Amino acid sequence: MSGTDLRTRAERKVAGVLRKVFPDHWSFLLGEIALYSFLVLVGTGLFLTLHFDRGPGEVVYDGAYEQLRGIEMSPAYASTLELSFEVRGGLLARQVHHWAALVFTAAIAVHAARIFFTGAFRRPRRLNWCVGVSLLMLALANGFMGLSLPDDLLSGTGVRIAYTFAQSVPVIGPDLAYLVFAGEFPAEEMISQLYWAHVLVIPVAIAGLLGFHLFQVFSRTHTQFPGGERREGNVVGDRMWPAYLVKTTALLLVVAGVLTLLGALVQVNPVWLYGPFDPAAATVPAQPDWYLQWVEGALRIFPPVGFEVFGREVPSPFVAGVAFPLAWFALLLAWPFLEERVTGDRDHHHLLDRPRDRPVRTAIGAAGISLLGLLVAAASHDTQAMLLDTGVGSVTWGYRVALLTLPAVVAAVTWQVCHALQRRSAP
Amino acid sequence: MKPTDVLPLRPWAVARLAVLLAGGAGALVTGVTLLFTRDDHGPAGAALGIGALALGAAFATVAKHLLGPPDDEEERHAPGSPACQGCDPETRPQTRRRLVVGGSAVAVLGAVGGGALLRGRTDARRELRETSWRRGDAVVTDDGRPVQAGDLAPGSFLTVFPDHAIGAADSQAVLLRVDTRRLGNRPRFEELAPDGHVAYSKLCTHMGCPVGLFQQDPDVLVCPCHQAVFDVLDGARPVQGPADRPLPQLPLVIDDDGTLRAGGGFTGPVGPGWWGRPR
Ligand code: FES
Repeated sequence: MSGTDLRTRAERKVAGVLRKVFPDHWSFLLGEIALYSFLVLVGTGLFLTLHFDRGPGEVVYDGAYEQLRGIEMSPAYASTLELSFEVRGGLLARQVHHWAALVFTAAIAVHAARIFFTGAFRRPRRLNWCVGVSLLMLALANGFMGLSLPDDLLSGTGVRIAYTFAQSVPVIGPDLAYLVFAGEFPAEEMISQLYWAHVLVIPVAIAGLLGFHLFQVFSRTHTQFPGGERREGNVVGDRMWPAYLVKTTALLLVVAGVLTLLGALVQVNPVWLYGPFDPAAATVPAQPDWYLQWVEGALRIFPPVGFEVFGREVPSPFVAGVAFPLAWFALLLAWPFLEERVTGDRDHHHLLDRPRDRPVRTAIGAAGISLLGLLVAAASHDTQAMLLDTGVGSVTWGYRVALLTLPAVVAAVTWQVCHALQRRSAP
Repeated sequence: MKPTDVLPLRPWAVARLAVLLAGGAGALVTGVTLLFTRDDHGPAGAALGIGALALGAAFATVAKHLLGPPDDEEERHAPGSPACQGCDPETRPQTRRRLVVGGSAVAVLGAVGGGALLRGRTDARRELRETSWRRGDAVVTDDGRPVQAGDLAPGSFLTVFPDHAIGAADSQAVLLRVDTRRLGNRPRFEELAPDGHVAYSKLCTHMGCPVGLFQQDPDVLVCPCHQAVFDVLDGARPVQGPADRPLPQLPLVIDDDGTLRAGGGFTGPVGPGWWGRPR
């Protein structure tokens, strides 16, 4: 093949890409918001790595924040204080980074809900659904590690809890905990190891999967809602160039702008108030960031169910902290295949469902969301007990009862509403 | 491409675009200047954020008022659509087989590699089982001061370590002085806790938080993390909350000059449980 041939082929390919049509609907922007938050995370994260000191050892603080001067702390905590009080733009970068993580996880979660309720996970997009769920897991894991790096009292308590989760796994628990956290808690190399996972290993995995996710969206084409000219066999929307690229650039700038404004004006994670980590102290009341609160909630209200297998111990944190979250993700991963089994529908679908037209799926999804919502609320049950002026025990029991009943009620009501909406929209 | 892809230039749209571009650029320049001249990050960040938002609005203006509506149409070249022949890996048996083979290869490699990594570690189980407490260690506070019998008034509470491992997370213990008259007939208690001095591991048996709250009447230790409650007068048995195991006790002795010393290691492994924890 001659050089000119190659060139024309490449040109044709590029021209084809630029002419490709993307459907237009506000809910299709959720995934893009996640993507752009990730870009902001990478940008601010690169800046933060320049100033963060992962240790090892201890230093005596003598920086700008007077209240902590003369106190012994890890280089990680000291350099986070320096970032917050002495590095130009450091606090802005820290806060934008933190806000971007909150928005990143939220956007992925809502995006996943959109895919779920509209049936966009069906063939030929089952694999891409699984890639998306994996991205959600990686995002949560990396969020947790990022929270842990400053090595303040609050985050140290969180790492202690994660350590116990790892330790509780049957058979390999102690080895797993030693592998992930570099030894017996709190190990000398722990922060350094979490650092490399947070800034390199997991982000690279996220970037790779994200690339694959987008490639799949591209090659398997985007779904669209029925109506107008839109059919299974066509795509109606904006051409890549110019309309789609202009719109998505607008979204990128808006996401970056909103995150910068939040970072500038709304304080988040003021680690200097918590003090350095000390294994003999704990802060109360304490909650992790929102995307981890469902696990925290489960931990607080699940009954203590340690049990024995072959005479070996499976301690109680395993159920709430490891088995339960893994079961959730397994259910999410399996959903497209389960639904296919039940409905027998193995066709390809490019037109989306309206949620009301799939009452059973919508009801199950709503029940799942209500369950997660309850667990998030339960993550601060001690504060609520204080506000209600009752014992923590009774609040715990209230949540247990709600957990067993509310999802069923939500499912039934959703199912009814779906049918009512169907009747109303029938001609 | 359809001829309507670019709309006729409307003067007000162009004017709005110009204002947004100029305003956005101005805000960005202001933001950068503020960042390098002022110590307070708030105004600088706000200006930068507003600048980005204005530029975003400029792009949105172009999309909305200068380009056509989203009504371009093309045939769908996707798996399962008529315009696509044989482009669905999900239904091609060959690809499927390749995926299965590749997937299992990765799984096997992962299992082998993971196993090797896990085995290469030090003896995690032994380290989890042991603490630094040895028979005869002086009981000291976190600043290294040895605790004398009688230093502690009944009802008070201290965090203590062995004298040679101050600050060691797995060896931290709570030392309490309880009123011996309230003990009733608990002989074991008496033998490990001379003169009402009683010490328990400070690591919660639930998730390993430090058990940091001591309350009297009834005498209990409370873990701040998930409110596990341990009965101090009854071997730190969990009486409420998520913990299902007592806090291991540290046997104490008072030597001739009145210093508190450990009579041995904890009565059991400290902290949360694990597979294979000895009982
Ligand atoms: S760690 Fe003490 S109650 Fe959970």
